[in-house]
Amino acid sequence: MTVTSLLFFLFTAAAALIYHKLPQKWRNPWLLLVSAGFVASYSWQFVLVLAFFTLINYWIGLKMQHVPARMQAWSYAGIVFNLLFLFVLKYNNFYLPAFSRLLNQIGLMASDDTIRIVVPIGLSFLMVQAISYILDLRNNRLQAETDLVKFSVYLFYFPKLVSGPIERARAFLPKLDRPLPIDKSLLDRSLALILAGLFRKLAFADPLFNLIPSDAFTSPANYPGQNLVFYLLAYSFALYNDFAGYTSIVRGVSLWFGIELSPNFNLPYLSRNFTEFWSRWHITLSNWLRDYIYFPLSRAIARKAPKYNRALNLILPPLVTMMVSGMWHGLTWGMLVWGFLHGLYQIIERLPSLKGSVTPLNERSKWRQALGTGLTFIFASVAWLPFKTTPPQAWLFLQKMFAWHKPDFWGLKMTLLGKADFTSWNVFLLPNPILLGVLVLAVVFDWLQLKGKGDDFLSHWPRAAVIVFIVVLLLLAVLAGFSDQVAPFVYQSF
Amino acid sequence: MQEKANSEIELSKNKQPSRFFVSLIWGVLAFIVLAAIFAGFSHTTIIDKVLPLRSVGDYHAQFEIKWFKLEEYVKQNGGVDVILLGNSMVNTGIDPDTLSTRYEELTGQKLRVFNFGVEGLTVAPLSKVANILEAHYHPGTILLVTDIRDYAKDNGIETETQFLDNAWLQQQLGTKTFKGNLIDSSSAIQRLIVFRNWSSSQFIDSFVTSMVRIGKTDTDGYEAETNHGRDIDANPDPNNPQEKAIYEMFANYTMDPSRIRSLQSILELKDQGTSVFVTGFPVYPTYYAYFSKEAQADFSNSITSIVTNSEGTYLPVIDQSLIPFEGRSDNHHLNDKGAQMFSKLLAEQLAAQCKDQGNCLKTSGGQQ
Repeated sequence: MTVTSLLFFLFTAAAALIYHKLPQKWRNPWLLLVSAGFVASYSWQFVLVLAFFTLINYWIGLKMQHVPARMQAWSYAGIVFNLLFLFVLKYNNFYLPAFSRLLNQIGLMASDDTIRIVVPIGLSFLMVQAISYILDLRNNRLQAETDLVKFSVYLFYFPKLVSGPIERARAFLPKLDRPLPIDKSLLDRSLALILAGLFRKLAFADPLFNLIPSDAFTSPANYPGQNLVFYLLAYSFALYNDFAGYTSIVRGVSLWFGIELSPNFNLPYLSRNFTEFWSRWHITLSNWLRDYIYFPLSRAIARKAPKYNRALNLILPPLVTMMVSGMWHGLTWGMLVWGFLHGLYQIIERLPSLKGSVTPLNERSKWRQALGTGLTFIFASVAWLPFKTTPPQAWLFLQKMFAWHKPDFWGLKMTLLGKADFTSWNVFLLPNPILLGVLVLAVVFDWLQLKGKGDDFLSHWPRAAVIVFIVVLLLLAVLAGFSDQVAPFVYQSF
Repeated sequence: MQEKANSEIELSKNKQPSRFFVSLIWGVLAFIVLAAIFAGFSHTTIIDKVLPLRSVGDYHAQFEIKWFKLEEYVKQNGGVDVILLGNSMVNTGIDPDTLSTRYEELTGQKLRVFNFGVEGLTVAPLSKVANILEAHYHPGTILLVTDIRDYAKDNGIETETQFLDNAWLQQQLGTKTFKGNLIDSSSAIQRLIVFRNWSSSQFIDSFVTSMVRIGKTDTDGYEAETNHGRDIDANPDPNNPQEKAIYEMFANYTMDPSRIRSLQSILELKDQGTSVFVTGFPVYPTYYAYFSKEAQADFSNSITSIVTNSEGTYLPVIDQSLIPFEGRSDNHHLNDKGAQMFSKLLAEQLAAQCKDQGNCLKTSGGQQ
C-alpha cells in the first residue's frame, strides 16, 4: 500500500473516522491495530518481526527505569540490540552468502537451498527512533513508557513507519494523549500538505527520475556533457521532491488523527551553506545525528582534548556525523563517500572561523548569500553522484560532465521544417525539452512555497489557482495510473 | 440574547466548509467538466486531425496503430474478409490492395484484405492476437505468415511478455479489470493515454516515430518500405558478438512445444468458422545461415503436417529467387517493389488453390 495510492487514502480516512468516534482509551489500541494492518499489507511476517523489535525495546526501557544502577549497562545493551537488529536484517548480504556456504559444507542445508531474511519496511527509521528513546531515558529526558500499546504506537504509527519523519518519544508520546482538535484550519492544512506532496511526487519526482535515461549514471560516456549536467540536476530535484513529497503526504494524513508529525524539509536547495543545508534537508535525521552523534562527540573532544579543541572540533564532529549518516543510508562505498563529502564541505566552510568571528548568514551581503546558495546547490548535487552510483562511476560521470559537444541546431532546424527525417532527439545533442520544462516548474513550485511562507501555502492560494492546480494534479494522476513507468519512493528502501 | 445569537452564528460558520475546501471541490468539478468536454471531442473527426494516435496502453505502439487502423477499415468497408497476420516481414512485405486486386482478376472474388503484420511478434503472441481479431471482426480467413524462428524456445520472449502485460489486451482475452474495461470503452481514455509515458526519457522519440508511422501506414494496414538493402547475400559473421549470440540461440534447433500449441490455437479458429491459411516468407537464403539444412527441412515438414492435420491449408513458400535484390530491404524484409511482386505471386498461389482444389479464401460472411 503506497502512500500515493487511492487505497491508502481510503484506508486512512476510514481509520481516522473510526478513531474520532472512539473514546480516548481505545484510540491508541485502534492506531496500533490500523498500523499493524498497514504493515501486513506489505507482508504479515513484517508484523511479527516489528512486534519482536518493539517488545525488546519496551522491555529494555522498563529495565532502565526500574534498575537505575544498571541503567548505563541496559542502555548499551539496547543500543547494541538495535544496531545488531539492523545489521542482521538489513545488511544480510554481508554475511548471509558465507553463512549459507557454511551450512552447506557441514550438511545442515541442501546445496541448492538459500536462506532468505525478511527485511521489514522502514527498519533504519525504526532503529534510530528506538535508540533515541533509550538515550533519552539514560539522559533523564524521559520516563520509560509503561503502556505497551502506547509505546508500540510510537514505533509502529503507520504514517511515519516507512520513511519517517523520525520522531522523538518525548515529543511524540504526549501527542497520543492530546490529539489536536479537528477543525477547519487543521483540515485545510492537512489537505494542503497532502496535495502539495502528491504534486511533488507526480509532477516532479517521478517524471524527473524517468526522464533520466536508465544508463546515464552507469554509462555516462554515451551522453554529451551538457546533457549529463541536466541529468544530475534532474536527479537532485527528483530526490528532493520524492522525499519531500512523501513527507508532506504523511504529515497531512497524520493530521486526520490530530497528530502533528515533524517537518523534514524546508526548501533545502535555497541553503546558503552546508550547515544550513542540513537544517533544511531531512531535518529529523539531521537533528537526531546532531543530538546523538555531533554534540556528544563535540563535548567529548572539549573534555578530553581541550588543547586541540578548536581544530579537532572543526574536523571530527562533522566528518564522523556525516559518515554515520552515510552508513545509515546504506553500507556501501558510495554512501560513505557521500557522507565524507558532506563532512568535508562543512569542514571547509568552517575554516574561516579558525581565524576569528564569522559574519552570520543573514548579515552577509545579498550577492554573497546568492553565491553561497549557488555553490551549496552545486556541491550538494555533485555529492548525490556517489549516493546514486558507485564511486568509480560517479567519478567518470563527473569527468564526462565537462566533455561538452556542440549541439546540432542545423539538424534540428531541418527536422522541424520537415526537410530531414526525425530519428531520435539524442542526435541533436540537446537536453530533453520535457526534462527542462519539469525542472523549471519544480523551481517555480519551490519559489511559490517560499513566497507562501509555509508548507501549507496552497491553502492560501486564490480560488482560480487552486482550481487549475487540482485539474493538473488529477490529470497527472490519471496519466500516472496508466503509465508504464514505475518510480517507488527512494527512501522507502532505507 | 445577543450573546446566544452570536454563538449560533459562529456555530453555523464553523459548519460551513472552508474556502480552501470549496476551491478543491470546484477544482474536481472543473476536471469532470473538462473530461466530459474532452470525451465529447474525442468522438468528433476533428480530433483525428489534431491527434491521430490512439492507444490501448500497450507497450507495442505498432500493434496499436494496426488495431485502430483495422477498426477504421472495418467502419469504412463494413467488415474484413482476410487478415494477413505475421511479423514485420508481413507488415512491409504484402500489400493487401495488390493481393486482392490480383486475386479478383483471377477468381472474380472481391475481398476486403487487411495487413496485420506487427514487428517482433512471434507465433505465441500472434495466437492471442488472432483470437482477439476473430472475436471482434469474424474474418472469413486468417492468412498466417510464419517462420522457423517463431518456434525457437524463448525467441522474442521479452517482446511477448511486455506485449501481453496490458490490461486492455488481457480484457480481450477474458481477464476483466476496471482498467481494461475503461480503456476498452472510452475513446477519450484511448486518446489521453497516448501521453501516459510523457515523462519517459524515450517519449519524444516514440511519440514522433508513431506519428510518422501512422502517416506511413495505409488504411489497409500496409506500411511501404522504400530502402534498398545491401550485402543481402553475405552470411552473418559468426565472430561478431551479436551474431554469435544468435548462432548460439539457434544451434540444436528444435520446435518448442508451447509455440506449436500457439500455432494450433490459431488453426482451431476454424471451429469459429474462420479458414486458416499458413505460409512462409520468401526470405533470402542468408537469413537461414544460423540453421542447419536438417533443421530447415525438419521445420518445413513439421509445419506442413501440423497445419494439414489441423485441417488448415499450408501453402508452400514462394520461391525466393522470384524476388530480385532491388525488391529487398534486407535479407528478410521486402521493400515496396518486392512487396508488389510478392503480393501478386501470393495472390496467384491462392487463386490456384481456389481453382484447383476449390479451397478459396472465405469472406467474413462465410462465402468462398
